[in-house]
Amino acid sequence: MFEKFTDRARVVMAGAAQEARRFNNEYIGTEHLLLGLVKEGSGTGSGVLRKLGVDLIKVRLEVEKIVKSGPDVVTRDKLPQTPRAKKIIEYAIEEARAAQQNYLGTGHILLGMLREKEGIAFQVLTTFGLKIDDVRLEVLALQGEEVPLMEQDPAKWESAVTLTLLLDPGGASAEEIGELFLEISTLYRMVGGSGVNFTIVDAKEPAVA
Amino acid sequence: MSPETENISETRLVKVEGRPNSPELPKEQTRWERFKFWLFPHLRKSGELAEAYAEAKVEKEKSEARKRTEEAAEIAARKDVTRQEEVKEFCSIVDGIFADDGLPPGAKALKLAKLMEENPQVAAQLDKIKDLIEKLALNKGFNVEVVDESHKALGGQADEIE
Repeated sequence: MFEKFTDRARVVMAGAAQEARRFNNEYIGTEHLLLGLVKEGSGTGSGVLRKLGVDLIKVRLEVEKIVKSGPDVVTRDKLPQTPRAKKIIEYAIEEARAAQQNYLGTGHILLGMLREKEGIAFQVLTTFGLKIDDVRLEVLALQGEEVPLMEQDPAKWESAVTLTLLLDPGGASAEEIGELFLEISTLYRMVGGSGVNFTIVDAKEPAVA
Repeated sequence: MSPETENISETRLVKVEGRPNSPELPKEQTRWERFKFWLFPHLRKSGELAEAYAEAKVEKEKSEARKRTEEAAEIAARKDVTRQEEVKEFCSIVDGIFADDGLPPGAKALKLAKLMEENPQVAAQLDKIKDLIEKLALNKGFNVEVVDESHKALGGQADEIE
């Protein structure tokens, strides 16, 4: 699952673990996730908070008022997430899915916090008057401003831009196969694309069994 | 259908690449990614062709199957120009969504996704493709599958997010 997290979302998760240790807490709770999000500071999640007039320092202070420090230094390598923290991630995944996005970003995590109503994160965020619908709209708006992949990473874009098909033409004629290509291209045009151009890479003969 | 190709029984595997006609356009990126994403489940099959392809010998000469597929791509490209006009009106709906400056970009993407999923014309077009594949499979022994895994470079499919 972690492979689907954006780099910034990973920073949030790592920051949450650091915050838990700072408070000698042997678990990662919703409060630590919120501190991780605020600490990360440059992703969609924190960007939306700022855009909605929320002071990130005040968020941190509010959380710190509530979090109780544990008595001993935490030595274990990996800290478990509380059920509520897990719920936030589940909700974040749902948000990513609903937006048809194939990654989990800091904006989704923020939305997850606003859906898990029993957590400290929710409690703190709502004191700033945040409403989930407003936040969702801002998250979508900010995500839309992200740098396109082709500018970000042309090599990755080059690989992503190809749709590779394997065909066994059987007895189908060129016209029939052409009709299939055409209908796929038309479908793409119907959803606002520029049409699809098909080229043949190579042809092979199956090995005789 | 030409009489020479009607009863072709030889099995050949042909690898075909589809690319958007204008990949350089910024708007194309979102639309193409979403399109692939959405189309994949409808074309994905058992993986038997991919397996056969991995084991297959490389062909020395241009096969008839390859020539036929090349011809098919040419036919499609030629007809696609006319088809462009036919779907122009539909495209204007999509362009309208993207031209709406009052709508945040993410909301535009959501609207497009909704359109792709719920619009009866889009659904009918997808059914047309599926029917065509089924008909060719049944009557002509045709088979197709998506072998492209590059979508995973973008972070995986939404249905694999968990």
